[in-house]
Amino acid sequence: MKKSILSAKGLCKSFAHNGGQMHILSHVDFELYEGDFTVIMGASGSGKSTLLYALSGMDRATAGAVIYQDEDLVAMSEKEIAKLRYTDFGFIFQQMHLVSNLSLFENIVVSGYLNKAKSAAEVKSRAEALLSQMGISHIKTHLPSQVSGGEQQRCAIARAVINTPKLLFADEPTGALNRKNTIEVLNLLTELNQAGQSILMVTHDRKAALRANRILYLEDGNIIGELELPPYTYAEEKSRETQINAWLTSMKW
Amino acid sequence: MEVWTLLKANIRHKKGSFFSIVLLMIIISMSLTAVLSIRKNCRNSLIHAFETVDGANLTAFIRADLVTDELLTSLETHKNVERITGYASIATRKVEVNQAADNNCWFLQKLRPQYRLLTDDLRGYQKETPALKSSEIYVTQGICTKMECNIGDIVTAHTIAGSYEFTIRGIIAEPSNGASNMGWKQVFISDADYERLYAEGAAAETEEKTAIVQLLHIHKTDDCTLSDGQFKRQLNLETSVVDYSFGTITRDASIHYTNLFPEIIGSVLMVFIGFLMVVVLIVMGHSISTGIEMDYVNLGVLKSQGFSKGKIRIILGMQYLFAEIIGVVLGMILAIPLTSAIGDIFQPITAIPSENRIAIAESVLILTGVLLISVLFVTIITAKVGRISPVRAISGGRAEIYFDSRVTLPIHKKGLSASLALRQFTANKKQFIGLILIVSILVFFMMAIMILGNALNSKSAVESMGAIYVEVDVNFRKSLQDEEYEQLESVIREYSEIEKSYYMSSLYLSLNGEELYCSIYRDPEMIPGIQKGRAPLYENEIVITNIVAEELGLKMGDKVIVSHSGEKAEYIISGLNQSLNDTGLCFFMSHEGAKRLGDMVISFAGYRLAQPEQREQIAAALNAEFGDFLEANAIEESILDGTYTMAINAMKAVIYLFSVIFSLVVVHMVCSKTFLRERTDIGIYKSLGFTSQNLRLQFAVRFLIIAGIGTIGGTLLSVLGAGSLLSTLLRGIGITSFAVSFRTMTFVLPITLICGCFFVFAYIISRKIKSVAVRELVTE
Repeated sequence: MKKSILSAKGLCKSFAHNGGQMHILSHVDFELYEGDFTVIMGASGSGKSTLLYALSGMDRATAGAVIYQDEDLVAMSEKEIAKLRYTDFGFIFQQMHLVSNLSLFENIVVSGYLNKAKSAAEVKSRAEALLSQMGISHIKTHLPSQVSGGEQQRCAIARAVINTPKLLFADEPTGALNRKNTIEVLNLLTELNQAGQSILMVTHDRKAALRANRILYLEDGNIIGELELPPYTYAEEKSRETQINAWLTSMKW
Repeated sequence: MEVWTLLKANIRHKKGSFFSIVLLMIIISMSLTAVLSIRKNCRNSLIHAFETVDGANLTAFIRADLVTDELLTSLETHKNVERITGYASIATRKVEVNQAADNNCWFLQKLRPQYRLLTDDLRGYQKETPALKSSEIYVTQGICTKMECNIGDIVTAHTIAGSYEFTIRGIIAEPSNGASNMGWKQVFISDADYERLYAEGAAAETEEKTAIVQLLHIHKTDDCTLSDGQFKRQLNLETSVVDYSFGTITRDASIHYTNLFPEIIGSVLMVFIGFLMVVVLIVMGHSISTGIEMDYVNLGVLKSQGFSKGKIRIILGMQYLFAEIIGVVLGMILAIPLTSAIGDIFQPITAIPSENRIAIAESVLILTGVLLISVLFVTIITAKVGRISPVRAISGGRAEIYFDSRVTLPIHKKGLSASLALRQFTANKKQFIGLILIVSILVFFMMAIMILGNALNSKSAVESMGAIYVEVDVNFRKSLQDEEYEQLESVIREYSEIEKSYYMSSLYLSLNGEELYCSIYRDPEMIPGIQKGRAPLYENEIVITNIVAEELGLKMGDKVIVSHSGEKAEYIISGLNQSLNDTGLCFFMSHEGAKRLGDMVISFAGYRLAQPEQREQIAAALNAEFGDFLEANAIEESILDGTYTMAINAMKAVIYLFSVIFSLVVVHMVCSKTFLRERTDIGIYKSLGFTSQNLRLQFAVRFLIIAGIGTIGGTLLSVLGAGSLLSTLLRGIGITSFAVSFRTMTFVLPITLICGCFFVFAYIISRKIKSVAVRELVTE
């Protein structure tokens, strides 16, 4: 029996548009489970990123609730949401978004320093370990502008998990990377998941979706399909790909 | 047309910068126009007042018995003299009004019809000046300021013939000696009173005691091209009129002395305005530079569409020039009420109602110059537009110029906001250099004004600049022997130890033909403010001020001729000093040295006490014991007259207020640009768990760091340069080497104010951070 970690109830998100309202999410209901690598897929404009940002508290839903540990994110204050970001949630952006005047190491530790539960030494030690795990120890003093996109994204992953979050959100983390870097980043995310990290990722890349054990399909702001898979192994990649392709075709992808 | 379209769009898009420049230029234009107008108004009003009363180019105050036919004939027949008018007057020894006493001479004269009475509100003149009744007196506004009196108060005039009481009936405009800072005063009484006082004075007059003084009004011919000062020198060489006078004043000198204070305040403000203009240029430079960086892509697109770099530079320059012109025009309009308000502050000192005209021509001329300088500056700053490559700009050229350097100061968990703020500062230090310079300039000026205020309220500082400060002064009615001086001091010592004692007299003597104020000291080592050489210890030595040395081309060791009432003697300059007497146009000698020019009497003593609170008792004791040959007075604590203090405080307030406004505008402009530039970083920080409050504090701390560095610069500038600046500005009153004294508040107040303003303003202005949503980081 899977344990729910986050749930959305009647989640809606609208934007003002041309004097009226444009509805991006319409009454979305679903659960995220602990230890899952969940992927949200869907066509462009289907509301994938909007859903991700609403679930992660990066953006406020217009209506509905996002329940995390019996608390509704929608009703939380800025301070409470901010605390969640450096304690329980990690976030990876498509464009990395590293702070340009901080070194890679500093980009990772700065988030850890916010967490009062950890000492500076603990944060630094974990940052070193993550840098090593991400393979970027040798460039830790470099500025983001001095390293490649793949290295930046690995740094962004390390930053996202510095506080050992309960849930890691990723918005098209491979969207700005070349093939080689894409594989490296996906391998890292898979590693993290296999170590117990819950992940919710938005992507339109089938290769990326292969790594998930659960795929949700979003259309016009509603989840219209769900695919459960066994945990990812490289050996079964081909058969997973076939299964996912067939499912996506049934979803009119 | 395309330029105009883009110009309008730019102004609309950058309203903040536009209105900030407008505001700064309003302040500059308003203060510059007001200062120029006040200077001109004060001068013109005084010249007009001189013309109304038929004021002479030279007024000589001569004992009536020394005005011989021979002297008058030599004057009347002089080629440069058009006419002479003599007015007899009764000289006072002392005047008392309410609780105040004035030991300077007042010259009581018959009222002449051309002298005009001020209206009740003192802002203009009455149509007619009513004749005075017996026991009534007209005084100047300067007297009212100095003596803190008003219409209806009783004036007691002590002359050698006795004491007379008058009621102040009105305030009259007397341009020659009417200002509060002038020592001697000319006042007017009824014909009947005058005749009575004249008769009684003439009867009491002896060779030592003067009652009747002729005021010889000497007018230059129209074709005389000499200045009033040159005219006086020329006249003295050929008639010795100055040597026979115990005082003279030219019209130019009178105008100079009367307007001295407004001129000094005006000079200080003009220098401050000049610094503010530098601040505006720095702000504009910063705004244009960062604007070019922020609009790198847009400017690249414009270039790709055929806009030449010249056209783009015109657009950028025009938007700032446009803001400046609007600011200049609005500032000049706002200067109208300001000129009137400031004129009211100075009138109690100048004692002449000031005109309220705006010096349009002068203001427009200078402000046009200011605009031209800024156009040149903008032209230089916008040169970097030429380096924009359309291709690079469109392909993300901005990234290359973002974050110009990185200083590896680590960030810490403890004080995370502060260490991040420091990093944001060091990573963009070029961007903030201008801001640091601005803070340095503002703090330097604020400290300089504090130093000025401190010095003018410090006994030791005033003394080191050549003034003497005493708690008890004594006027002698006879020449005293050494043992009598000792008796006086022993009485004083019963109440307080004496820190310093001065025995002296003063009069105008001719030095190389130039009439100068001379202070004669019984103990020449007490002569204050000596900066080079030594006191005139021998009878053939004198000390002159630096200003006299420069004016007359003299130096230490030079020989000079000093003359008085026909007697002449040669002296060697033994030292140079500074003095506030007669705005520095003075010299000093020992009593022994003065005796070479005739019988000189020590007429004044001053005592600086260890227990100043005993001043009243000491003055009373001296009067009780030696009242038959002296008169002692307790001198009030304050060094500066209340009006002067008020004017200096007003100037300080203006400088502090402008500094705060400039800080606000500058922080607003830089903060807004920084916010736009770092919007993405703000979003990233928020996504990591920083709250808006954290980030606003980071912003504020960054500006606090900038202000802190700027204040260090300003403090260093003050320590190194405030003395020189103040010496230059205060040369007009005789100070050539300003004694800088630092107090804790000299540093604490400006530093706290500027740092506080920067921190608070940055915190307030960074409220926009609240509006940054993490969602902005989403790439759709």
